[in-house]
Amino acid sequence: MTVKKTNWKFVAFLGLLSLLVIPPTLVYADDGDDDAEDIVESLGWVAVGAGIAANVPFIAMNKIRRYAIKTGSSTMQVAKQIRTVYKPILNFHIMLNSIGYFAGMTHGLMLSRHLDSVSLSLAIVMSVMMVSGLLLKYTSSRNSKIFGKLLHGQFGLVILLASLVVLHIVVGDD
Amino acid sequence: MKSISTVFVLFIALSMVYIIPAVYAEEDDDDDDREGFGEMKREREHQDEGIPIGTDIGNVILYGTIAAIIASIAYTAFKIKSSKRKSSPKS
Repeated sequence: MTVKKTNWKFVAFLGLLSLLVIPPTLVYADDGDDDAEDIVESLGWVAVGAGIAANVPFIAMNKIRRYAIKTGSSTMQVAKQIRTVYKPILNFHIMLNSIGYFAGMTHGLMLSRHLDSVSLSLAIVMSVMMVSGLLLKYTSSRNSKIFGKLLHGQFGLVILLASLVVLHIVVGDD
Repeated sequence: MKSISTVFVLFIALSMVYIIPAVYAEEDDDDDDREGFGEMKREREHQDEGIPIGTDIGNVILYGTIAAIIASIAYTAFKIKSSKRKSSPKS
């Protein structure tokens, strides 16, 4: 029953996303209209904004929680308080990152005619982070969960993603 | 009930992603109303932008990214393997 419900939710989620992502992509895709280009550019900024809003508070919260646990009994109360808000912040992180990912991918698909190395690299890194996040959230196997957790939290990948975003903005602005 | 509200919130949020940029784009649609001029200017802009695939820097960025991803996946797998080997008792 639970599996069926989860499947239904997943199918509904994918259906909704396809409805929202594919028609605008087809309508605006590289038709040479200035309005369309502005929309596409704004979608890129939506992706950047969503990424910052989703990840900065989440990473900060995790760092504070780890520090509080490490330092001992006096700061244990802070760690406990953070634990109570962890779930809503995690949901916020997942939701905003999903929005950012699909906005970014739509931005990329609409500008696929001007594809460059930085954009392609950015799309690959974003997809790896998204897949590892999905693996972490939806898999039940212990090994896959550990793998997803380690890969999703790789500091190197986060740095690579951030630098590619900066490079993409700089190259795109020139 | 909870799943319906989640889907609804997601729907609203995703709709906003498309509506907000469209509203902002509507505001400045008077620029470059001379059709040919706008077209030429845009084409010139696009010729200059980006690091094309196949150039030296482009290849370094692309292959570097792919190598970094493969390295981090391999490192993660190695970490899991080594921790499993440590936890399993010696016979």
